[in-house]
Amino acid sequence: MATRTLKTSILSLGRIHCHIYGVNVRNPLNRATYATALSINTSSQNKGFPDRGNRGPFNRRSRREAGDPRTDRMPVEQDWTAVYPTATPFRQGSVPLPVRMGFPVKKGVPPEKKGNLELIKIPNFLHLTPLAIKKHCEALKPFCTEWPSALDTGAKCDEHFPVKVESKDYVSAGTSLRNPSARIVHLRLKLSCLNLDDHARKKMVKLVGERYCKDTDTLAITTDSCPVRQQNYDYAMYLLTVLYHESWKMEAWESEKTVADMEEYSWEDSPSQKNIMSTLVRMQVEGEGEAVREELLGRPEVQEYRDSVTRLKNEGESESSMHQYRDAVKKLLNL
Amino acid sequence: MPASLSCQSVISVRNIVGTSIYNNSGTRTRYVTAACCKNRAARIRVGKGDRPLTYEQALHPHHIGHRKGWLSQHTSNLQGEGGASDRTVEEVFVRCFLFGTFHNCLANEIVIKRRGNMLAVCTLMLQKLPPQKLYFLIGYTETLLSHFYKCPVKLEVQTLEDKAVYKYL
Repeated sequence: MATRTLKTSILSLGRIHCHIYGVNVRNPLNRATYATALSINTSSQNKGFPDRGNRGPFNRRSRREAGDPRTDRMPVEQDWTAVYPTATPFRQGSVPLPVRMGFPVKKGVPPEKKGNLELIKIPNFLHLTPLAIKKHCEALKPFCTEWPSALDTGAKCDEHFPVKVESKDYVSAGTSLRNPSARIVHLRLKLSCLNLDDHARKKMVKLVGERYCKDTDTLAITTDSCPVRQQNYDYAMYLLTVLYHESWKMEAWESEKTVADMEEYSWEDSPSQKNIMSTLVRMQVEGEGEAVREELLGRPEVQEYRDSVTRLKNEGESESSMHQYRDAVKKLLNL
Repeated sequence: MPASLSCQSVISVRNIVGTSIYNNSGTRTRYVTAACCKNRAARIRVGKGDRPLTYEQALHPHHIGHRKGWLSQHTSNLQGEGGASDRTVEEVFVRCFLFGTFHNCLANEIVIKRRGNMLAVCTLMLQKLPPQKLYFLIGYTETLLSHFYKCPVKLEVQTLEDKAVYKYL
């Protein structure tokens, strides 16, 4: 593993023996070799020192020349994915581009890529050329299956899979894989896909409270009380089941529901109906009785009035609803 | 001490009056660490003009983010993520360890990258050691650090003939 990571510039093309040149000319900066009056030939004559082969401190034979960088040997049609198969830092001997990076000195240019730490610091995408990505995809294809062709629209997906479960996975750099936020589970579904009658629906909405959004008809349950995601998912499904069954049950005390508990305004048996009935009856002066009331209720103006009042109470005041109410009243009272 | 770690971990104290090591008043002692004012941290001052500096040494810490990059990058410094102190301590140790193991061979500061669990240490070295010794030290470092931190540690070494000089101060 160590050899793989070492730069190719250390590997030499072949051994260069010092005694061919006679004089040590390869050390202008006085690195690890030492000035010595001995020549190489004395190692075979001098019997005093034990022959340590290639491991002596004055040995110059194993000092290799640094080879040419790989960039000199790169053909144009080479396989770049072989040069950078995985994410690796920038190697100036492997990238055949004359890149410069850094702040220039005065009247200078940015420093070159040789020994440039800035180029190493930044993340590079040399291993993600389009060809490399294509190769990755080809390698992954045997493990993938086609998307079912019957589920081509979002509506169909909702119809067949109404319950949507969402959870997040976290990846971070560090010695531990665990992230406590990964246990949170969100469960979403539309109430219209559940088999609920009117009473059950109203009871369900009352039971869940804030978790129901009226505009989108979506029930959203979020569970994070258990330490493990599987447990949170099971708990969310359990909650859904319990809510469904409980909303179908009719308790004895539910029959004591008053007008204040109602979710919507209903015009029947309301003070508004009573008032308008008594007003109309007095206007008519034809006689009292159930039949008159029935006949009055059946009139279209009364229906309009009923609609406008219901709309005002349920939706709140707006221009159009106020106009509707005004027109209904005008028609009713023949103004 | 490595010059530029991530921005947050530059330790600086201004306006320390006196740098006495301890105050002996009766039975209590107070220990005060030496001060490092922030206008003197990680700066090599202008000299005669014969001292070669690398790019890293020549630019001062306030240039980090503007003309210099970061020597280590990991997700713990993001909003809402934890473990920043652990990562910082690990990195300080790795830098000291490498500085000592490859004595006199490092051409520049060490860049530490984390790819998921793996620690990738990128170094620039001078060609002072014979390759066999270098191989051995690389393997030794990787094995030892992997055992310390229980995560794969990869050392990526590039070698140079000599240090890349940016300017002379």
